[in-house]
This record gives sequence, structure tokens and C-alpha cells, in this order.
Amino acid sequence: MTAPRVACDPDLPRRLLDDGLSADEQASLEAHLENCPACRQRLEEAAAGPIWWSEVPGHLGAGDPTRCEDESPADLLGMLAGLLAPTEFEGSLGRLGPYEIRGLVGRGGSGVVLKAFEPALARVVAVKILAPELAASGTARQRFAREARAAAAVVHDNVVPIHAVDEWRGLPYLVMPYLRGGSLEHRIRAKGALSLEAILQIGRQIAAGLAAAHAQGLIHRDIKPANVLLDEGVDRVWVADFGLARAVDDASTTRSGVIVGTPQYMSPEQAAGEAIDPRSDLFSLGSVLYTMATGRPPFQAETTLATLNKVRDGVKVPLRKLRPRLPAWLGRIVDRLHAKLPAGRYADAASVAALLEGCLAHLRQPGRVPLPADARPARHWHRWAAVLLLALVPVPFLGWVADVPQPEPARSKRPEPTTDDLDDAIRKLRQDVERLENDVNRP
Amino acid sequence: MEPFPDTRLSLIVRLRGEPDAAAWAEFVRLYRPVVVRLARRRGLQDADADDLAQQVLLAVALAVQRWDPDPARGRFRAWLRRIAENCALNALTRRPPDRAGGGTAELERLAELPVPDGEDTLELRQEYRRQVFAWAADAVRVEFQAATWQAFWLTAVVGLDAETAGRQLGKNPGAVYTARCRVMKRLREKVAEWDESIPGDEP
Repeated sequence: MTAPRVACDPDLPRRLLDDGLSADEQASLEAHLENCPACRQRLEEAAAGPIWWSEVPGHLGAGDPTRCEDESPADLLGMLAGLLAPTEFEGSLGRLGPYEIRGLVGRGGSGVVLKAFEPALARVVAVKILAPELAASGTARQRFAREARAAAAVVHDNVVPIHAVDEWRGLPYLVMPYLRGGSLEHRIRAKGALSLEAILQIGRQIAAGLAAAHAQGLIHRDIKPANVLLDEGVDRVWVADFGLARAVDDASTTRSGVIVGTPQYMSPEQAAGEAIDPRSDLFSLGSVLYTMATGRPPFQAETTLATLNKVRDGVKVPLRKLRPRLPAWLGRIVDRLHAKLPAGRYADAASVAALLEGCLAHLRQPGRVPLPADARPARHWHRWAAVLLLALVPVPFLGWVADVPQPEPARSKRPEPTTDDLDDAIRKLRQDVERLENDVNRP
Repeated sequence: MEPFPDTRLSLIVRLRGEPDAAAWAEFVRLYRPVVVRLARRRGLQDADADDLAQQVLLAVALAVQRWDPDPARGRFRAWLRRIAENCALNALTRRPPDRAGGGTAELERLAELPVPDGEDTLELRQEYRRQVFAWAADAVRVEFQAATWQAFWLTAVVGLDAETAGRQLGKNPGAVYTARCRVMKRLREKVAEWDESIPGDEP
């Protein structure tokens, strides 16, 4: 049945935009527009000229560093349209299990993250669903579900909690809180390197989250800035995706024989395909600290293989070459985390958390809190003394030797402007302006 | 990171009886990230880019005191934007390496120097326009129902046709046409509050 063709009313488009139309008028305009390209064009031009329309995707589309939502490539939306069940829900793109899908947050190697609303609990959540192309592999599906359940068992302030693990139309998915702050990766990309205090704060929380997971026998295996989620601000961070991304990567590796994803944050033992233990995560944490400090990952090269080689050989630009104002002890901590052999790193994530906490306290009150021993330089005489003493001194004294405090060279932290400084600067500016004005007004 | 003390600076503005302190605060929020982004793109570290942005905005604040609310000179916002562009371009293109703070005289010079033109100007204007678009989109989005906004987003940004978008939103294509145009008109008005340049026709 074709609607009766209504004559064009050139005034309607303008009135729609300026004053609004009655419900009847609106309905008749909508019906008319479907059959009348000329009026569609008239309406579009009344809203904004063609150049405006052409600007919109570039200015508001993906790649805007100030936003991290709404990167919605058309093909993904198409995929989703086929996946979701129809819904009556206002503002929902469709239903996935009990969740009303509102949009795309992004996609990673392991799957697609959707923003969703859970009507039963009236909360906004993030739904992570295994990428359909990987779900074809039964192993990947099982592994995704298994790892998700293991991750759900870790309860810690710095680990993203998992609300639910389930399956929808053959695709496993898990449900997490929706965190507005975006990821550390987004933040670094948008704002560059972070302040020393933020580096320590974020690093400490990652280490604390890792410690909790390690205590449950869970290795993360993919610590990188994209897997560290932020609150709005840096007060609180969450580690996401325990074991998940790599579980899927492993599956696709076995399938295709190539490594997917970025190898930049891998440990050397991972890069070599060897067995790993929790200290592998510590190496990756070192790389994340480095990236926060310099704005770029320590090991990067044109190709995956070249990057893996750099990771294995430990070739990196020293941290302080890129940012000389940072204290030497931060470089030392990163270097120790980057020890090639796991035994050369710190003993566990908990001690790294404690160490970074100590550094933070030292940074805030340098006069009162000494730098933690683990961040002080190891001196050669120190080692020689240890060797000599090993032969000479009874065992109980050894602990004391290892704790000999080293004076930290006095170093002026880069002064952050305080409100007082700014007040002074502004006062000075005003005085100068007045003086200049007087000069100008003088005959 | 210390946020820019916009309230303090707007105090200067108010002390002088200048128009629209709120406009100044809003402008600082808009312009600062633009300068920081461009500085970062030129290889400056986070903290240095912040310093540079602060310097630019201080120079603008200084110039604000010379603002004469004479109708013949145009609107405050447009004027502010021109001054800021001047300062930002001078700071970004003539910045000696690794310079600290900068005295008052230097700040004044930022506003007075003739503006170098060329690619930097274009880049700055483009980046500014992007920022204004993002800001305007945030402001306008809440004025509409979610489905109305989505109709605009799916067609104008993502590039779906009205039929596909309509299917996803449970709207007929006609409703998608009206929805997207209503959003677009508001977006254009909002952008024009801070960026009066006609797109494609650089002033």
C-alpha cells in the first residue's frame, strides 16, 4: 500500500526546526519525507549547510582523543544488529540475555565491549562478548568461560569485579561494571606522560590488584595500559581482563600460528614462549610504569617479531634519557622489574605495591619519610662487602648488612606551581599592566 | 596536575567590570586542551605542554584586560578567540627549546607578535573546531531523547542509511530524517557560540 502522495510544503521543514510541529503535522511530514528526496534535502539544508554535514564524522567520529565511547564502526553495528534480540526498551539497540544494549565501548583482540543497561538492577554495565570469529573454536569458548569464572573469584578494590558469566547465542560473555574514566591507554594517548605522583599511585594499585589475583593462583598475562581502567581522576584504578585476552590470543595463535595483539608489554619468557609464573606480570608492570613516565612503551619496533626480539634482549632507551627530571630511583625500580630472569625481579607483586607506597610517602614528605631501601642504588662496595662478610660474619648479621641505608642524593623535584605562586604571578602581571598603562597615558 | 585557576582569572575579569566571566571560564576549559594537544604533538612532555598552555592562557588573561566592550569591535567570544589564536601560535611556533616560565614582557609579546600563518594556523583552527564540536555534542545530546540522538549519530557520524538506523532504533525512516536534522540544527547553533567561522571558508 502506498501512502497518498502529499504535496510538498516548503514551510514544514523550517517550522519543524524552529518551532516544532503538532503530532499530526510531524507524522505527515515524516511520511512525506520518505517519498520526497527534494524535501529531505530542503530539511537538511535548513538544519545546516552541506559542509557542516561533511564535517561531522571527522569531528565527532572515532579517534577523538577527548572521548572514548561511541567509536562505533559501521560493520560492528551490523554484526550486532544480527546478534541482538529485538526490544521494546527506549534507547536500546537490542537485547542480549537480560541486558539492554545501548552502544559500543570498543573492541579488543578478545572481543567486543558493549555498554548495556540491566533493568532488573537498574544499573549500567559493560558486557564483554567473545569475538564471533574466535567463538568458532570450542577451545577458545571454553577457555574464555573458564578464565572468566576464575577472574570472578578475585575480589579486590583494584580488580574489576565480574558480575556474571554466561552465554548468548553460542557466544560466551561476561558482565562488569561500566567505568566512565576509560583506560590508562586512552589517558596516556590523550594527555601524554603522567606526573611522578600519578605514576606511583597508579602503579601501586596495579601491583595491589595483581597481588590479590596471584594469591588465588591467577596470572594476568596481559598487563598493559589498555587493561587498566580509571575512575574519573586517578584516585582509583582497576585491573581488567585477568587471563582473558591472552586465553583468546592463545586460541587464535594455535589456529593461525601467529601472535595477535600487541607484544609490547610481554615478558621475555612470554616472548620466548616459555612457561611463566606471576613474576611475568611484574615485568609487564615495569613496562606500564615506563609508559606512564615517558608516554611510550619501552619496547617497540616496526614488526611484531622485531618487538619480541627487543623484549627478549631487553633493549630500551633508559627512562631518564626520555624524561631526565624524574628521580633516578624510579628508573631503578623499572629496571629491576625488567630483569631478564624472573629471579632478578622483586619477589612478588605485594612487595612492589609496598615499595611504591613507600616511594609515594617519600615523595609527599621527603624530609620525614626516607626512600624505601629497595629503591636505593646498589653500590659495588656493597656487593663486595657482602661477599667478604659472607665468609666472616655469622648469618644473623647478614640481614643487617642488606639494610644499610644509602643516602639518596639530594634532588629537587620539579616544582609544581601552587596557588600561591599563581596568585603572585597574577599580582605581578596586574602591577605590570598598570605600570604599562600609566606609561602609555603619560603625556 | 593543577587545573588552570580559571576562577581566579575570571576574578580579574570581573574586577575590571568586563563582560561575561562565565564565558572566560568556559573558554579556558575549551582552549586549554587544544593547546596541550598541539604542544604534545610537537614533542613536548606532559608537564611542559601544560606549562605552555598555562603561559598562553596567562597571556590571554592579560590581554582580556584590554578588552573594550565596544559593539563595533564584535563580540567578546570572537575577540577572545582571535587573541588566543595569536598567543597560541606564537607560543607554539616560536618557543625556544626548554624554556621555563616566562616573564610578563614575554607574555605580552605573545599577544602582540604578528601571527605566523600557514599550516600551524590551519592545524590550530581545525583542532579548536574539533574541540568545540565535541563540547557542543556533549551539551546538545542531553536536550534530546536517546533515540533521537542515536538517529543523528548512526546516520551522520557512523554513516548508516536512514532505513538501517531506523530498524535498529524502531523508528521509521521519516522519523530518522526529522530526528537527525533537529539534532544537527542544535549542534550547529551550539558550535557557532564558540566558533563563528563558516566551515571551509577560513576567515
